[in-house]
Amino acid sequence: MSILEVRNLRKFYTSRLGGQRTEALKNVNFTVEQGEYVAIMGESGSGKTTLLNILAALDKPTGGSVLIDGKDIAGIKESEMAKYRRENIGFVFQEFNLLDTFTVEDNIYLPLVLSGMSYDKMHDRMTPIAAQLGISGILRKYPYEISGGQKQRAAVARALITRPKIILADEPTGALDSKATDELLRLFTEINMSGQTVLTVTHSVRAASSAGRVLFIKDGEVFHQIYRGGSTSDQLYRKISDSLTMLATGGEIK
Amino acid sequence: MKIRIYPKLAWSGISKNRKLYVPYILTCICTIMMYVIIMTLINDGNIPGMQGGAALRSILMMGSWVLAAFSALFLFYTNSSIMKKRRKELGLYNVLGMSKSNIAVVLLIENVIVAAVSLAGGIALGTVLARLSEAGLAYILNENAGYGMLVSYEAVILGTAVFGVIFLLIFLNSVRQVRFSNAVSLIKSENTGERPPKGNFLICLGGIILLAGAYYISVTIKNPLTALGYFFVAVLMVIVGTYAMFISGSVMICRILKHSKRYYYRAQHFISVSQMSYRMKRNGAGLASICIICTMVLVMISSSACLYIATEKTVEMRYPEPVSVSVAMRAGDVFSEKTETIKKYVYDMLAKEGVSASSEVEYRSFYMCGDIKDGVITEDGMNVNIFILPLEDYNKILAHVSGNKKSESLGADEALIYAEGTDYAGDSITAAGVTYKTRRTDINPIRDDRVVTGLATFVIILNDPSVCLEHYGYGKWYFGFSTDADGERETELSYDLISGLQDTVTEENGFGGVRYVDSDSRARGIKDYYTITGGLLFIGIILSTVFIFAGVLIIYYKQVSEGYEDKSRFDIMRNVGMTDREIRKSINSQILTVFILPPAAAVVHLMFAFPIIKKLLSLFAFGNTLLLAGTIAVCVAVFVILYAAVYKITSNAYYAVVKK
Ligand SMILES: Nc1ncnc2c1ncn2[C@@H]1O[C@H](COP(=O)(O)OP(=O)(O)OP(=O)(O)O)[C@@H](O)[C@H]1O
Ligand SMILES: [Mg+2]
Repeated sequence: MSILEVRNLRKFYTSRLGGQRTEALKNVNFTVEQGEYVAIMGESGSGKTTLLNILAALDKPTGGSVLIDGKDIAGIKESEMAKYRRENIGFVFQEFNLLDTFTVEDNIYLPLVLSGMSYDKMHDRMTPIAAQLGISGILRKYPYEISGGQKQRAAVARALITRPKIILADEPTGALDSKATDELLRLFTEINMSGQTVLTVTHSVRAASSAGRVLFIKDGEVFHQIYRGGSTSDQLYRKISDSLTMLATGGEIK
Repeated sequence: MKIRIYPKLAWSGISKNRKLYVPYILTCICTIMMYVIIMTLINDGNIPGMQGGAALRSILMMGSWVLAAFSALFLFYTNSSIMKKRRKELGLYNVLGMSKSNIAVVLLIENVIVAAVSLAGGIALGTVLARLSEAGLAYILNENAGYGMLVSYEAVILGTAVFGVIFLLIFLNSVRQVRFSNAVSLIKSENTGERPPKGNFLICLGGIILLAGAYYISVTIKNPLTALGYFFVAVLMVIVGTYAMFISGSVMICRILKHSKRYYYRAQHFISVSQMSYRMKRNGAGLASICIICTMVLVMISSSACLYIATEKTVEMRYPEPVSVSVAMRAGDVFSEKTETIKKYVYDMLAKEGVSASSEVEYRSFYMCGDIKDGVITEDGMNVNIFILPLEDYNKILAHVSGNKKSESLGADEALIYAEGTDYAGDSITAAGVTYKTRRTDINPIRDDRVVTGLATFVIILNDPSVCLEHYGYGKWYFGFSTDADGERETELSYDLISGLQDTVTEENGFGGVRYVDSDSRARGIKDYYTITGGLLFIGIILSTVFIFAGVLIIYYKQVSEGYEDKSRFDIMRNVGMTDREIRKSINSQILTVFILPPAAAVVHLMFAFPIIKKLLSLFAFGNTLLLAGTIAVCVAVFVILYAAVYKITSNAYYAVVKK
């Protein structure tokens, strides 16, 4: 069974006065298997953030369904939604979304504290994750005292610590320089290698080229996808670039 | 930079930060208004001319200093929290090419605008409210309103001066905040939490010392005449001490709570503790302000209410007989047949008026305002009202109050003692060079109220006090009775008696050393007393109302401004997976812990203030401890209910802001 299944997903935005209707997502279909690393690409305004928000149950679709581990998330009661999200989905935001009232450590603990986990258990989980992400030395610092790359790694740690079924990341490298980007991508690959399912939205070809599969979204639909297969990152990089050029020029892809 | 750009920048600085500045200016207006009301009431209008007005005036005068100190601390903190939020904006100016002195000019203009608006608003509102309350006061007292001009110049000048200095200090502090930080930290500072102040422990220690000192003053004070001055010293100490304790205390508590992992890492504490420690200093200052307002309101309202309620009881204590005549003169004349002349005059007068007297009481005494040192009475010092009575007169009074049931007898070397408010505990007393063994009585024979009010009373009853004649030259003769006339008639009678007796008790008629000849009626006493206590109650209510409004404003402002700060955080938490219920719970826990503290501390202050308040009230001849305690308890209960309502409403306001 696939870990994530998206069927005929649609999302319309109607402007407040009721006149304008934007079809952010028209008809999106795809599945993600356990342990996959998928990147989603597309032009600005093509509906990537909308899609991700729906997958994370932060937003409601107009039609269609999202199944996580075979369970339709539309069937989850509003009151349990936050809990469900906390326990099943790890979300990495473009703008980190770390709380300035907490130290890095406490920011990472936040979802676990909300679940009522004891400090010792949390601490046991933290140690390997912090080591893997290379943030052991900055756990006691506040977000304003650390760099952008460190913040994003802390945000990833916060997503990982709940041991979610799937990690969703919306342009996680968008606010980072190239060195920090490289590090984060290496991290995602590493996490993925250890069996974690990752779904990330990105503008960056380089970011996408570290994934196992790349989905292209255009006009609210999945337009095309590339599997890494046996190719190296460099080869995948070229394939993605070509596809993007085609997309932009409106050419057909074989 | 062009000159013209400064005012423009200043104005946009204020209007862009409306959410911060409107409540701030309102708070400024409120504090100035309170000050102007007090100053106007003091400086012209009814109070100076009122009975007991002088005492009230000096109380309010000192109160105005307390208020000024409180306003300074409070506005100072409000402004520095605004400045903290604006540092990003100012840092941007700095980065975009304005020098720090350019920024200082902009800040100066901003502060001038705020000061001008606040002073104009505060003075106008304060004057109107003061006049309205005066009219109300006059209405209650059945007097003519409208002395003085509409605007009290003293109030305006003093208000402008005092608050001008406060605004200047605030401006200098803002400049300091900008001056001593580089552009990067200015831009970043909005997101940084507050750091614990340097020497937090010392601040805490200072606070403890100040509070302990103030409590000590209150508990140990003896003399009500000096109590008034000490009272305000203690109040100032309590204000500063409360700020120090709340600020350093909240820092310390946050640190301790965070340290305890089992407490801190619980869903219901985690968020509230971290947010509290994020703004620990501001929180402490805000809570201290609320605590001080709570205390002031409770002290004002309960003491004035208490005086008012006790009016008739107090007057009855002071006027045991409906009509009284008292003469203070040479002791030799008091203890002679001459008093019969005076008595005869009184009876003649009553007969002429067709009024008959009954239940007459009469006694002679030596009187001095002095002190008791090691069981010896002296005429030095102004601490104790001392009387010496013959046993014969004491027994007459005893018969009068007990209905002929009791009488006392004394040996030649024995004295009966009645003491109130002294710490005399010996078993002997020396008067006029003779030492007597003492016994105690709990019946106060003294019925004359013309003594130094508020001092301790010490009465010595001797079998034969004639030895005192050589030593103590000054005495009093008291004659009191009931009549068959009504209160108003009795008052008129007492006036007639005064003028008649003043012509009778003279040097020509053989009386010596006459200090006063007086006659009084209980009816008049009650009327006079209601003027004082009613006036006090009214002023207490007016000031409390204004203070409560200020308090509500502070609480509301605190909640809403924190709501806006926390909103984005709660948005993030929602995204991380926090349910609305959990959010609500954490908010409640945060607000509750924070809001329970000020009234709790206020009650502690009040408990320690009790002795000194009682002493102060004794200046108004009030001595009913139980009634005072009861009134305070009722006031606290009502206040807590009110406070809970405000808490409920403002926490809803906070929740509404956060939830959007
Ligand atoms: N809350 C909203 N109300 C109305 N229209 C919206 C809303 N959010 C997004 N849209 C519209 O939906 C479309 C898809 O937006 P979305 O944010 O998903 O794009 P995106 O692919 O994430 O773009 P980018 O790469 O720039 O982040 C856009 O046309 C956008 O204008
Ligand atoms: Mg987007």
